[in-house]
Amino acid sequence: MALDKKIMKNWLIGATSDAENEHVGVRMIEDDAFAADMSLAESELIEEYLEGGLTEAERELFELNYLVNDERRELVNEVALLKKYSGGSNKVSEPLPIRTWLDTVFGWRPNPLVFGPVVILILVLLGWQFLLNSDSNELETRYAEINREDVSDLSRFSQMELYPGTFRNGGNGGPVFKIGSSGESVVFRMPLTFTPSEGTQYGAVLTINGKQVFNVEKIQTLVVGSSQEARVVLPRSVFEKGQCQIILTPKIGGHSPIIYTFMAE
Amino acid sequence: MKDHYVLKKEDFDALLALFSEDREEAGRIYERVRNGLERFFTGKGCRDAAQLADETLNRVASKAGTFDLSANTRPVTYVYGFAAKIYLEQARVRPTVPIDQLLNLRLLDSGAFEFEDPHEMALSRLDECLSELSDPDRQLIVSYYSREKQERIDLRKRLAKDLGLRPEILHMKVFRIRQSLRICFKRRLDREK
Repeated sequence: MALDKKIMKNWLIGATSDAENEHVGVRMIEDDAFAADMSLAESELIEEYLEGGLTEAERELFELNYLVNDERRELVNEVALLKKYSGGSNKVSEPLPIRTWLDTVFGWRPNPLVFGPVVILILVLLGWQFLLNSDSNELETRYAEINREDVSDLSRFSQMELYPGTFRNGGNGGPVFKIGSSGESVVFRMPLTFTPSEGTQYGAVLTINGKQVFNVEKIQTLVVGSSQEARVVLPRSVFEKGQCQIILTPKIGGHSPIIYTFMAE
Repeated sequence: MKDHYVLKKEDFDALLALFSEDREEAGRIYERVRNGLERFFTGKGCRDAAQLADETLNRVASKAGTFDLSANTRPVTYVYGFAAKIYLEQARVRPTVPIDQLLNLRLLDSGAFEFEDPHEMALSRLDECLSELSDPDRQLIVSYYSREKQERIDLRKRLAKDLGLRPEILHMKVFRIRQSLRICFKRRLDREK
């Protein structure tokens, strides 16, 4: 029987009733597989503590009853370090990949009573958005075509090579893109240090200072020497100073999104 | 904690009989319960979980002769009763450490925690260790910890779905990546000393 994760977290901080204590305690003793569930609950509890997601009482209990040995203190430090690193300066402001948005929409099960008005409202908003962004859409359409053409001839564009990573290794000392340099279009070369599974296709999203500014639905991957790289051609005009990311999102098959980070000056 | 109980052969036999009439089956259950007790004490943050598990079974064995097999009590529940008591005994004598000495974290106005500045070194070390991981592993772990609160929950659901894994399996995968990071981290720390 599945056990409520909240009860497991409460058990870890000593906030369960006697009956719950016995229930969880017996499961811990007799159910080998339960350890995995408890480990997941423990990790979530630590993150909630670090994110300020516990109530004052829960936080006190966490410090009193959970942080009772060096191993646990190290564990909390380790998670805090990973969260600090992974969040970086683009914490929660980075837009979600396009595929994610689509997943959310298609995974939604609408209530028929509100579905109609909601659809109408969305269409009105999309129409409004379309009018506002027609220039940018036109540019994205033009660059979608450019990215479908042969991009193996690098002499056609300015070029810049990027490496996977977040802002930690993309800040000072990381690649710098010069906005004012010559050339209307720039090809960004993004090496893939693994071989993508056959048929994998990538889309690319450019974000600047956490805001999505450009989207290319389909980009090409090429074999260069013994490895592969993804290439995306982008217009120089969309850049502004700040922290930039190109997020490669597999459209078919493949891996999690890959992030390439650089500064624009 | 009370003085340790010393297990006698007749007590051990009674303990095994508690688990099963079949001696071999009883032996297997004994091992499982012992491992489970270790999990229980580890889950409660006890040092020497293995020793506490043995102590629990010794005490259960010393009383096993009085266990009423006809009563509607499962042996594991009976064992739990002893484990809970031993946990409370050792929790009473556990030293408490002031929270400001626990972690190198500082509390933000939002109620969340952040590392204090000296941990820039730790971040650099982590950066180096992440670069030793395979690309998919590095991307997974950086992505896994990149969001907070509800966004974190939503992101992990998506990651699990994309990878075709159940959430707890995704967690175990991340857990294993963290173990290799930990080894790298300690190695670099030792080298710096």
